[in-house]
Amino acid sequence: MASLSLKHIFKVYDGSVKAVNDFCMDIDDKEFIVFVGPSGCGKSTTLRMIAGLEEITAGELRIDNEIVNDFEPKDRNIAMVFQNYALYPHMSVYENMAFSLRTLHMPNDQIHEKVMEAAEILGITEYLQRKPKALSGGQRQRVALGRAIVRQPKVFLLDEPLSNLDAKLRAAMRAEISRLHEKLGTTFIYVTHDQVEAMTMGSRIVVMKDGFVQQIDTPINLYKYPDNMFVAGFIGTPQMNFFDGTVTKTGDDVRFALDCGTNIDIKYIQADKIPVKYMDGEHKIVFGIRPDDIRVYNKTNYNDGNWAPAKAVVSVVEILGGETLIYANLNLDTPDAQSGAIIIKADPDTEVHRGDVIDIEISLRKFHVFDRATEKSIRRRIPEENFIKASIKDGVLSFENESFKLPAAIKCENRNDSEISMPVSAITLGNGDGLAKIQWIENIEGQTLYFLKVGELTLFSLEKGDARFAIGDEVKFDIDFTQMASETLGIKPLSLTNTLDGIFTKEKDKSRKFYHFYMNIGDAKLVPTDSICEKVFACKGNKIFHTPLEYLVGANDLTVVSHTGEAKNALVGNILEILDYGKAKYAIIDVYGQKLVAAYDGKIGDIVDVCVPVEAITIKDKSIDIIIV
Amino acid sequence: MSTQNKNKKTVDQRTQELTNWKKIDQMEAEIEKSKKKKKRRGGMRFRRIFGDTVGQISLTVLSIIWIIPLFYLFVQSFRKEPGAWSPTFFPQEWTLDNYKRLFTETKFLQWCGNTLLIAVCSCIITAIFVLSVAYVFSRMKFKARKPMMNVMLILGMFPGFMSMSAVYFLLKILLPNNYQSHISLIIVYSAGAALSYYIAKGFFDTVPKSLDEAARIDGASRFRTFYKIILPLSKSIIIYTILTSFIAPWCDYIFVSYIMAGVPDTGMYTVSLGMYKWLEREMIQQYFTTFCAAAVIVATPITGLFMWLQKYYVEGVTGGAVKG
Repeated sequence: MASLSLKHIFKVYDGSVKAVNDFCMDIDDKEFIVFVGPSGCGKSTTLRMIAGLEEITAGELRIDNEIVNDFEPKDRNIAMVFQNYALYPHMSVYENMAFSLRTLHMPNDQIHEKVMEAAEILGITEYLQRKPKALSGGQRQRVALGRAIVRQPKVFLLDEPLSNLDAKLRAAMRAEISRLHEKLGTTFIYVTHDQVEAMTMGSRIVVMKDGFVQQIDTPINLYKYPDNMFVAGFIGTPQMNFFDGTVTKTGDDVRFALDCGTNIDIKYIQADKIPVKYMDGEHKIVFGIRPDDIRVYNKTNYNDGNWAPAKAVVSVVEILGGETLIYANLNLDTPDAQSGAIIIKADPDTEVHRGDVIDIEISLRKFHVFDRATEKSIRRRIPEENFIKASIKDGVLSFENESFKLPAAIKCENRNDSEISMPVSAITLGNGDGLAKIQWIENIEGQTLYFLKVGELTLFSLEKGDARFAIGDEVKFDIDFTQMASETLGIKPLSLTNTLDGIFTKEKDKSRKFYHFYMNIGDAKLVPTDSICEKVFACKGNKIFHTPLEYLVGANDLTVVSHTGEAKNALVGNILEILDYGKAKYAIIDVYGQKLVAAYDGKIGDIVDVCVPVEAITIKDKSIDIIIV
Repeated sequence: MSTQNKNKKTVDQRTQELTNWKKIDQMEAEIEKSKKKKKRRGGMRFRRIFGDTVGQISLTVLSIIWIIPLFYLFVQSFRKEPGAWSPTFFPQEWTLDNYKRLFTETKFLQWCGNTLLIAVCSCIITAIFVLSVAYVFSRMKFKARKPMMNVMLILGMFPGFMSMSAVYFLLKILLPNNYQSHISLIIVYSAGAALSYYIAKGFFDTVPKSLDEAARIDGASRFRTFYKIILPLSKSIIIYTILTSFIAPWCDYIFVSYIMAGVPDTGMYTVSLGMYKWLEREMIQQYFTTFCAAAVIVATPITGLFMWLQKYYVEGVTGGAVKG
C-alpha cells in the first residue's frame, strides 16, 4: 500500500553510457503500472533501480514519501518476481516461500500460517513439499509470486514474469495476475516487452525507448492519443499505417497530399488541432491511421461526413475468422511496394482478392498526424501552441479585428504578415482586451481546453480545473506576452529558467579537520545544504570537483536587492536591461560575465545582489547532461 | 442470512479460483506432453553404437597401460624375497610380512597421523579461502577486482616450489623457534590457496545471479546468501576443492623435504618424506618391498575418496565450463 515517486532518475554506466534518461513519474497507491518497450530500452534497469538491485546514478526515488535511494532492497518493503523465477533449487516450495520470513526470525507457526495463506491464493498447496525442479514453468512462476506475497510488500515488482511461458498459458496467467492485483490491493510495477500484456493489465503504461520515456498514460489514451510515431507504432496490432506527405490549407479546406499519390480532403474544423504552420504544403508530415479506423466501402455504410474516401489495390488477404486483414497499397500501380502500403482490418464477410481495387474509407475522427523530422504528434489532444498571423503597427498587435498593445519590452518594426506563436497557456480568459466566442470545450484529465473563435481564427486556451464558461459564451481574453515568440519578428519568449555555468569546490576549514563545500558561479560561492552535498557525492563522488556543471534556477525564485555586500548566498551583478512586460518587470543582470533574468525593477547600471535560494537550484552535469540534484 | 450468503459467495469464488489454477495446470501439462512427443525421435543408432565401441576399446587399452606400474607396485608389496630388484614381474613367494613390518617395525603409522593432520587442517583452511575468494570475485564489483584477478591468475601459474627458499626464510622469521614444524607446513599449504580460485569462480559464475538478488530482496545478508543459497548449490565444487586441497599436502614431497631437512626426529616426518628415506641407497635393499606396501596403503584412502566422490569431482571441474 504505497505510492512511489521517481524524480529525474538517471542510470549511467561507466560514466558515459546512459541506460535510463530523466525518468519522472508519480505512482499512486494500488496502481498497476506497466513498463513496456523493446529490449534494451531501460525498463528492466528502472525496475531494478526501484528494487535496489541497481544503484541510482542521479535522481530521487521515494516510496511512501521516504527517500529510499540508499536503502537496501530488504528495507524498501518491496518484493520482486524475476523472469527466470530465481527459486532456490535446493529448497522445497515451502522453504522457498518461507526463506524471507526466516531471515526475519519470525516464529514457525506464523511462517506456516503465511505460507499456507499464500499457497492457497495461488493454488499450490499440493506442491509445497516438492522441489522447484519437479514443477512446471507456470507452477514455478506461481511459487515465485508466492514468495513475494508472503512478505506482504508495499510494492510488487515483476520483471517479465510471463515471458518464459507458452503463449496460451501466458494469456491465462495474465488474467490471474490481474485478479491477484485486485485481491492484494498493492501497487504493482510490471515490466514486459509484450504490448498486449501491457494493454490488458496496466492501469497506466510507461512506454520507453532507448532509455527515454516516450509516454506515460492509460492504455486507452496511449492507443487513442499517441505522443509520437514510436508509441503509435508500438501500441496496437496490426501496426498503425504511416504515410509521408504534406498538408495544405486553402480557406476552410484542408488537403493531405500523401507521397503515394492519394489526397485526403477534409474540413478545417476536423483538423483544427493541427498547428496552422504545418499547413503550408511544405512541412513534411506523416499521416497515421490505425487498421481499425479504415473500412471497406459498402453502400449500407452510413457516412456522417467523417469518412474520407480513397482507393487501394489488394496485395494479400488474411482471413482470421473473426476479422479479415487486408494488406493493400494506396498506390494502385504497385500493390507490393513499401510506400503506400496499408493494412485494413475489415469485416470477416468482406470478399476481396489479390489485385482487386477497392474503395476504402478513412475515419476523420481518428487519424493522427506527426512531424516527419521530430516524429512527434502534431495533432495532440492538448495542442501545444497557438499560431497567429498578425500585423504590428506602432507597438500594437492586431489580428482579426482584435488589437493588443505590446509591452515596452517587445520592440519590433511594423509588419503586416508576422507569424506569432505562443503556448496555449499564454491565453487567459476572463479579462483583457480581446473578445472571443467559445466554440467548443474539452475536459482533459482535470484541465479544460477552450476552442476560441476569433473572427476566422481558432485559438486554444488551457486552464486547470473545470470549465468556467459554456459553449457559445463570449469572453474577454488576454495574452501573456512573456511567452510570445515569432521568427519573422525575431522575438523569443522570455526564458524564466536561468542556466549558469559553474563548478563545485571544496576548501579545508581553518582547523584543517574538515572541508567546506561550495557551489561556485563566477566569483560567488553558494553554500549548499547537506542534502545537496549528499546527492552530489552519491552521484559523482570525488569526480564532482572536476565536472563542469550547470546551475538552473527559476527567475521567480530569485530575490534581487540593491548591493550591500552583506547578503548571503548571493551573486553580485549589474543590471544590463529592464524588460517591461506591463504587469511584471524583469531585469537582465550580468553576473560574472553570464546573463541572468530576475523579476526586478531598477535602473540600468545598478549594482545588485541576487539572492539564490539554494534549495531551488537544479544541478546539471554538463558533460553527460544528467540532472544531479 | 446475508452473512450466510456472503460466505457462500466467497466459497464459490474460492472454488472458482482454484479451478482456474487447475485449468492452467492442465493446460501446461498438455503443452509439455506435446513437446515431449516431438522430442522422441530415433537417432542414428548404428553410428552411435560403433563410436561407443571404438571409444570403449581404446580407453580400456590405455587404462591397462597406465595401470601396469601401479599393479607392479601392488604385487611387489607381497614379495617375500628381499632386495630392491626382482627378475620376475610376479613374486616367487607371496607374503604379508611387508605389511606387518610396516606397522610394527617402522614409524609409518606416526607419519600417516602427521600427514593426515596437516592435510585435514590445510584442506579446511584452503577450502574456506578458495570458496570465499571465488565467490567474491564472481559476485562483488569493486575497483581492484580485475587487476587482482589477473595478478592472482599469473602468480598461480608459477610452480609453487619456485618460492621455496623465500618461504623457508619467511617461516624462519614468522616462527623463529619452530619453523621446522607441522604448523609451518599447514601455513605453507594453505596460505597461497586462494590463487587457485578460478575453477570455483567459474562454477559460481554459472549459478544465476538472480538467486543472489532474490535472496537480497528476501533480506538475506551477503554471508547468509553465500552460506544458505550458494554453498548448498555448489556441492560439487566444494568437494572438488576439498579433494584437491587434501591431496596436495598428502602427496607433497618437495616442500616437506625442504622445510623438514635435517630434522633429527624421524617421528616428525610425513609419509612421503619418511618413505623417500627408504629409497636412499643404503636403505633400498632392505626396505623396497616395505616401501611398496606403504605406497599401497597411502594410495588406498585417496583412491577410495575419489571413487566415492567421482561424480561431484567431474561436475566440479566441468561445471564452470558449460552453462547449465
